Amino acid sequence: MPPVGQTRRDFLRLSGLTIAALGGSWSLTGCGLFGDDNDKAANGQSTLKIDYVPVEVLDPQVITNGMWILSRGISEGLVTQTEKGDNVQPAVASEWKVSDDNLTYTFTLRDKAQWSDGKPVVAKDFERTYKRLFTPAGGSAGGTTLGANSYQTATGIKGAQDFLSGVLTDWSKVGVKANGDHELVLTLSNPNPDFLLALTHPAMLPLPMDLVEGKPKDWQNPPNYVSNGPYTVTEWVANSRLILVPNEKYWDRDNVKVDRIQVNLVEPSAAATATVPYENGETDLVQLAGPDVLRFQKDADLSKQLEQTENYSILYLAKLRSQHKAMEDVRVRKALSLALDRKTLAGVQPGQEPGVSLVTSRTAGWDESIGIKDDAAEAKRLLAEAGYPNGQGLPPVRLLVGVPDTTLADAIVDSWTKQLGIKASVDHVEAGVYTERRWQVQKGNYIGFYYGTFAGLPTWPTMVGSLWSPKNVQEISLPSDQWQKYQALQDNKNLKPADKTAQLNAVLAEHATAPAREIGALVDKANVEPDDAKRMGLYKQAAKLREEQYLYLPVLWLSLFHAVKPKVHGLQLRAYPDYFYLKPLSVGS
Amino acid sequence: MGLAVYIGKRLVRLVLSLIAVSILTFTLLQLAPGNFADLQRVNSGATNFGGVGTESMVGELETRYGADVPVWKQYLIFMKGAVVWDFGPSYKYASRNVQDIIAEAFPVSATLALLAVLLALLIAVPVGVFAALRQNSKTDHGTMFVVTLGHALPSYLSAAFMILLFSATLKLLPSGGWNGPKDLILPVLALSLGPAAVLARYVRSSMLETLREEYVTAAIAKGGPRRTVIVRHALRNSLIPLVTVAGPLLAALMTGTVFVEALLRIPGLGLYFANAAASRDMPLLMGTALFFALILMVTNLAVDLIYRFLDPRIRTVGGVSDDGH
Repeated sequence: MPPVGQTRRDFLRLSGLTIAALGGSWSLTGCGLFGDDNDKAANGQSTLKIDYVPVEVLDPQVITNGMWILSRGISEGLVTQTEKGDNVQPAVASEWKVSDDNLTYTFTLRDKAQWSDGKPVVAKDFERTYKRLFTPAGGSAGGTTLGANSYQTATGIKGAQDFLSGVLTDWSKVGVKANGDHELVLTLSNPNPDFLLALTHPAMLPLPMDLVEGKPKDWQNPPNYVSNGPYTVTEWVANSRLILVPNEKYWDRDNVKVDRIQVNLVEPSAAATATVPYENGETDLVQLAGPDVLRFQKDADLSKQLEQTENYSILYLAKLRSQHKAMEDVRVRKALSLALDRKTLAGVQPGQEPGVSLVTSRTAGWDESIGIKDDAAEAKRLLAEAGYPNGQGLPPVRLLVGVPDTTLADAIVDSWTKQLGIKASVDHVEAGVYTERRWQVQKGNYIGFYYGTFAGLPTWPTMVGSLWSPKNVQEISLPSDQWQKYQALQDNKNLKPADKTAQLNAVLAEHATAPAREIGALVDKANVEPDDAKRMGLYKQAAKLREEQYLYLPVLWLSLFHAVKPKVHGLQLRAYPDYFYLKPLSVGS
Repeated sequence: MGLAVYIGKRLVRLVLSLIAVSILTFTLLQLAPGNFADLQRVNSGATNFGGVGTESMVGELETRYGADVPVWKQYLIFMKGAVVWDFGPSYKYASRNVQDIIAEAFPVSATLALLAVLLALLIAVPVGVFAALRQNSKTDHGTMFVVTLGHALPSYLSAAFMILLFSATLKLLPSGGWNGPKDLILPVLALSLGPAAVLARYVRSSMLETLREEYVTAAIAKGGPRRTVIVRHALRNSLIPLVTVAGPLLAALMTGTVFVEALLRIPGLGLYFANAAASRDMPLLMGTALFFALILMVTNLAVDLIYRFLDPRIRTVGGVSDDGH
């Protein structure tokens, strides 16, 4: 070994040089560190900055937040929603015909519809996209749908669900057919009055299938990314931003007005920190949490920038399955629902209304006849009648919560303890614990509800047939032992898909409560009823019966709030999970 | 020769440690309640739209994510890839491989860590020397009081304060994001305060120790200028122990900036690591955990090696000197 001192000096010299070299190369590549496209919009360009949650996947067929940014106007489906969100308007399809039996929809695609790479959007694109959507991942090579499949089975395309579950393997029997380049025929198994609206769900957006199949790993990453909507993606820095620019090939390019949209991908943060970027000019549009809404409402300027989407989602409680039998008694569940004091609960945060039914009042034809009326005295009477006078003998009622904010859950528990004098508490757990526990049969004397929110199309088929669907109601009505049997069947990997479905249905047919089965029969009948008034009547009947089971308790109808800078024009908020479309937006001074 | 054996031994230990880390992480993940598929349904658009998994969806997920192969086999499949630096696709970020995520996000975290440690050193050395030269005076106690405060202040709290001050109130800096060099200022400041405090205390005590050394006394006795004695004799030697502190500090910052990254919206690796655990994303969690362990161990090894060169007196390794004494 050479003399130590020399090595040491050499070492120091060498490491000094190395550090200098590293530092030099770092500063040279410094801009690369921030992505290719830093905050540099060319002069005179209009730029819009909006906040969104992080996007992990840009595939509309995978259930992630990514799918809801795509349907805002990166991809475009056959139809889009109208300004109010209660009907559809032409998009890729310029027109469509519905057969007299309401089962066959024939769409005519625009000649001018193009992908951002200049290729025409043709009917076959839709057929191939839907085939990918309905193909179970395990059985397909490369066309895997990675993650929970986003297809809404309530859409009712003939054979789709069977193809997805593997019962049907012949694609030609599925109701999706391209006739030439410009005609697409979709066939349903039952009439579905909501079908056209259901087509606005991200799952039904077209994909550039040549690219998806040619580059299965890289098609989502710019510069590969290709879309057919008003905007397309030029940059995607995970956990930081998406950069959108107009799709120059879009059929209605003249009506796309913003030159560059920066979508900040921001983890939802606590109130008060979320608004700092907005007030500091880093974003033009942001969703607000309750306490921020209150502050904005009190401020003369900020209150003008506040936009409310009323009655966006429903806060509900669902019965937990327990070894203890108390919650099997409908009188106990009804007592807990009537004792909720929804009026007081609605005052806890801004923009809330008492949620008197699972069907929101936004649904056309809704009236109070299907609603619940709070009645603390009746609740007490019911509880006593069930054998728990003033709550004596009733185990503590738990509320299983898996979201960070328990403000409303605490208020609910408060309502129960005050109105009924029973013991109740919030069981606040991590999200993973929540997902596991809410389906389990609770041991010992653990009884209660789990806490959740839903949002969906405000139409009867969705509100009654799809959210808290007849099947959900039947499953939750099963006695605990049958529920365990049912779960074991679901987990059984040795059963063929068709056998499994048949056996599961057999358990429901035999052990679900009679009213729960009746709800299913009513909805089935409603789905095929051609007369509008009669159909609504049937749905209403089913909805009322569902309320009377008190298996799912509606609590509150919640609003959604956004803060929008005055320079942003054309914002059309809809009560749908994508909230608004990008296309009508423009930026003024 | 001795060095080669020493490095060899350390590398063997490193590999064994990595295996232990992988087994521990995997086991803990298996023990954690919930799974990726269920969480995905609850935490994403599915909840909003009422997507309830059909049996086929669940089946599909299980095939894709390996729930239908035994757990030990899943581990082996993963580790087989990990050996050749192929962790496979993340569950959550399904279009990307874990090693690509690391390659993309690590430079971000590493840059912040390097700059933060550099800044910390720039603060710590003068502060430590200043305090040491005035040992037990009021200025010494005052400085050390502030330093202790800085040490006790968690980086996410200082980040929050800085957002309040520089963004919300003064409106001088962006409150977060990753769009340009401006966005480096707040995270580097927030991350450097704690380490600066730690380092300043080390500099002070090490300086005090060196000042008591005979060669310093001798140098002063020879009548050398005070400044020269302090900077050339005392300071240089008292900085050597800093290497042992600064190295692991750097590694810790490179791997542990979760809170600051989340608060300041920085697409670094810490954020992925936290998300991977929360969403039960096995490949991403295993990949990042192994990578973090590797970084820590390599840094420690590097520190030990550098130390040997910097201080010729330190040659003893694991109780046995490699020079034969």
